[in-house]
Amino acid sequence: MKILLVIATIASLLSPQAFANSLFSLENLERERAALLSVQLDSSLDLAQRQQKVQNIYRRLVDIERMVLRDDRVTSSNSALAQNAFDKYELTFLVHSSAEKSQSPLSHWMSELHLTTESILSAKAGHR
Amino acid sequence: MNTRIIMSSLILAISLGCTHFVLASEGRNWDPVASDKLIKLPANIIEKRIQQDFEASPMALHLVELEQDMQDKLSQLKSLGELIADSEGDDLINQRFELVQQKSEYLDLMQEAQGLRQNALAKKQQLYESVLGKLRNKNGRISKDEVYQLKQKQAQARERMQNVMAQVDSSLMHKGLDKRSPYADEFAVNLAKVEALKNAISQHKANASPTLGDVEVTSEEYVRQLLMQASTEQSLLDQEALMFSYMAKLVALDAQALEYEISYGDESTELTQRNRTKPADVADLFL
Repeated sequence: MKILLVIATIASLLSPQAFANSLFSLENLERERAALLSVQLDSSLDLAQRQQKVQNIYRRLVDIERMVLRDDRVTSSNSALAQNAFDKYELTFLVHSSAEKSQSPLSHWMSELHLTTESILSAKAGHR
Repeated sequence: MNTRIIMSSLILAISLGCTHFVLASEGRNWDPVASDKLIKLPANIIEKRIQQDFEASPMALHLVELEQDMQDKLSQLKSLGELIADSEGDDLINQRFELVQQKSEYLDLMQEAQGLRQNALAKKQQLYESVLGKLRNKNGRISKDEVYQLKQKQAQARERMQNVMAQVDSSLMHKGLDKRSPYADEFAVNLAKVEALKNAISQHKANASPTLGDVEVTSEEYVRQLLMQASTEQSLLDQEALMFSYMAKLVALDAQALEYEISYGDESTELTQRNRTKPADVADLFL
């Protein structure tokens, strides 16, 4: 009987329902990635400030990306967020996918979205 | 004369009875079901579980009884055969009649046992097919399942990450961020333990894949092999059925020969003509 209780307790602790949010790590990743891109595109920061902030976020992002890739709770949820995240590896796991192409995360991100220097410089504001 | 008529009609009845199929009595059945619990067992245990279930069934118990009866009948046949060698006259006829009767009863028992074995084998085949269908269905459902596909994507992404982990770590060093985070430290310590536990699970004998010969196979392959074995047994049973039919024919011919011998004498007995008065013999009286 005791053994059954112990097994039931362990099972309940391991079950996905025991955690309030199974997408916790993925949401953290999305936040940190958004913060990284936001900092890199923030024109109010000077070079030194930007570099320091980017380095801090970059360090955290490396860990968080690895956490999400190892987190089984994320895939057990079968949510649209999780589906999208793994369908778009290049945009989700920015640090590791940019390392594959030996690019910085921002360059890699812009390349994935087809935001080239020429297209940005030739962009015009106005009505379609 | 009356005795001979009765015996010959009895022999005729026995010879006809040799071709009659004895039906299994009611309540000696085996009704296995491929439940979900059965599918969850390892494939080699499924085979043992099915065999165990069959051996506890009324059909198997009846087969054991039949086997015992056949053994007893066989010893009677052997003793009769020995007696016949030393008998003659009416005793010989009686013992030959007894032998034919015993042979017929023995064949009836064998035929009933054969029928039950055919029935059991057909049910085993159906059960294996049902198990195979459910295993395939389960694997198909698992592979189509969205969660399964998401997990597959995560596994592929993880593999991709592994390829560039060293590169990312070296870029951290260049940026002066080479001090490992608490997550990285503890993760590394736990990873080794997790791998050791995973190895222990995979090597556990209760988790072992079924084997054919010395080769590990999947559950599906193992059940397919069981189906092949069942069809081999089916061919052998069909051959035995042919042997039974020939044995029954021989017993019928023995009964027929005995009947003819009793009614018309054996082959060496010649047809005798009654004496009759020929005209040539009495013609002189009329001269």
